[in-house]
Amino acid sequence: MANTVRNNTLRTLASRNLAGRPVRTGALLAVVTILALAFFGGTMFTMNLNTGMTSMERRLGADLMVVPQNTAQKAEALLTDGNPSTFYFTKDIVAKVKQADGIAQASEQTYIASLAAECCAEKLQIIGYDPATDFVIEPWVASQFDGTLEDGQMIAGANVNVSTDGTVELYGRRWSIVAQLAATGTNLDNSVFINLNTVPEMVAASAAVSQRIMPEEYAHKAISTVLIKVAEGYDAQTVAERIKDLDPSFTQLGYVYPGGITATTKTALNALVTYLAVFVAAIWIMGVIVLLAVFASSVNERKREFASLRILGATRGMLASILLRESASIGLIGGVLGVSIASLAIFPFSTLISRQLQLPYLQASLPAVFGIMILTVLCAVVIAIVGSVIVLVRVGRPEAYLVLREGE
Amino acid sequence: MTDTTATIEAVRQADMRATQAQSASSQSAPLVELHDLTRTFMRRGKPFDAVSHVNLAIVSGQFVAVTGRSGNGKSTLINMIAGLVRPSSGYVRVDGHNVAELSDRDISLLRNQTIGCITQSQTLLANLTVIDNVILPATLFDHCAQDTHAADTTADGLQHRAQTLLDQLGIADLADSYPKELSGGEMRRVSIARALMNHPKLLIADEPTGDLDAESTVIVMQLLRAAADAGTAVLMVTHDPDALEYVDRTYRMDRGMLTAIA
Repeated sequence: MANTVRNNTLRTLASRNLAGRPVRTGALLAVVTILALAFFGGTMFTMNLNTGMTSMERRLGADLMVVPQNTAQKAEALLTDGNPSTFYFTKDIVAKVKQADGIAQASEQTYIASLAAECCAEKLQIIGYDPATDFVIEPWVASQFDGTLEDGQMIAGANVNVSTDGTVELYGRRWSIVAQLAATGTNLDNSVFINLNTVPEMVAASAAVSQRIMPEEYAHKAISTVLIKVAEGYDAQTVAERIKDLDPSFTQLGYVYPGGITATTKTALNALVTYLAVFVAAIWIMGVIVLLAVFASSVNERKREFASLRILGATRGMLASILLRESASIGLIGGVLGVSIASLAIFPFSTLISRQLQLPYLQASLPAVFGIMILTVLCAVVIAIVGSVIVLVRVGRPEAYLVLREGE
Repeated sequence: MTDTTATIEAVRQADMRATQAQSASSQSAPLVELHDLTRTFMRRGKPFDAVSHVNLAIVSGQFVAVTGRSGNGKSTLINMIAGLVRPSSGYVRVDGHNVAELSDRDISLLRNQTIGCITQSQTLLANLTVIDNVILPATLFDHCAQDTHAADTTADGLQHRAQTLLDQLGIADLADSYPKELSGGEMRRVSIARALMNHPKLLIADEPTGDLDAESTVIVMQLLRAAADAGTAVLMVTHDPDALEYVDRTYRMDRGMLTAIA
């Protein structure tokens, strides 16, 4: 029973000390909350960007994209996080391009930007691909759809709103969605995928309800890009030169190197992550200084309080226990508050952040998020405890009574 | 009875008690034993002895007072006895233990269970109520001094004992107040109740009547006297001549040296 009384008293003493000094407790809590918020927010942000980058790298399986004249930028935007667009050349060019040396695989795709569809707040990118030759979409789709994409069917990107009956309405027609893909953090999340045979159907449907998306004569021969995987021993630039050698007019075509896009995006992303790291580090340095200052300012007050406890027979271990309970509580509460506030900003506005950044931004996996949450709270507890050590060292002097005499 | 008669009567009673206490001391080992005790501090780069070669023995039930001008080493002396200040030379034995040789846990245990301290400055914990301040010493260790007094160590038992002490000191109605709501005298009485909470064998009181009016002084001194009569050794530092009426023996501290007053 005495044991229970003892434990209760020591535990209560720490919490009563916190409650009894609301200004000091509030200041410490505010600092720890800001530190946790900066750490968790910054880490999540960085992690989401890296996840988006990794995802983008995985999805861009082609080494080279050959696109129509003056459309290279549109094609790049389509790969990252730009607006949907429509561009095309004709199939006969594709056949010629495929004859160049150094090509291991080649597959064509057609890009059509829909109008603002009923199902979505923004325009959808419609991507027609050839399941027979495709080496970019299929490996990615395979994890969620193992059948063959029939004519008139669609596979939807992660952000596409699919109605409860499993369809999407485009150009006044309901298209059957056979699978919905995992998020990539790129514009592909706002895309629907159809096979190339469905493209003319889409063109006809558009003509029926609104402005035709391309002239009828192009519906069966419009191709937006030839995706090329280069053969062993070739690089993408060399293959591009070989294609240009096939026909003088091919020098006018656009050549996009997804690897280069990845590198450019990576550079932008690294710069952002560096700024972010510097910002978080600056907040932490300032926060730790403030934390130490608040703890240091309480030393004299605590010295008197702890000298009183020493006189009553408290051991140094008991004093340390009281102080650690106080600082750990502040760290825990501040850490949880920081993580909660940061979560309120990060998770509900993930899509908005992604759109504003114009960079691949993909929510990290749940275990990773929980891991960072726990790590943040742990860091908050540790930093609060480290801050309180300054008090512990200074009140731990052997002759407690001398403390009481100071200022008398 | 005139004032003079009353004073003579008080002195006579004090002499009687001193005789009884001396008789007791000759029969039992001292609870407190100071041998050649010295504490040297540095002042403006020069060493000086705040306490100089002091010898003293106090037995259980003896009430000893130390008087003297401020700054003559009285507080340093009693704080060496409580193990709060280490001696430069000599030793302090309390209840058979050389205080300077005890580990942190053992000296803390001794301070908690054998010694009760009433300090000169305010040492109540601001965030605890009066009753919790009084109970606190009884909750620091699992095995308290109550064992020897067959006291109730349950939460209710501790609460009851603390309330009784507050009642004896005339401040029972302040049990749920916080220290900041008390006057200096009231805080002093709470400190006394706290010092008595663990039934100490030795009660050390530094100016226990310093902030008190005449009526409160009588209450406090009667309580300390009763503690001594119940077997507690009481060592009191005081400037208050009225308080000396209750003690068995008086010493004077002058420039760190302790001399008995006849």
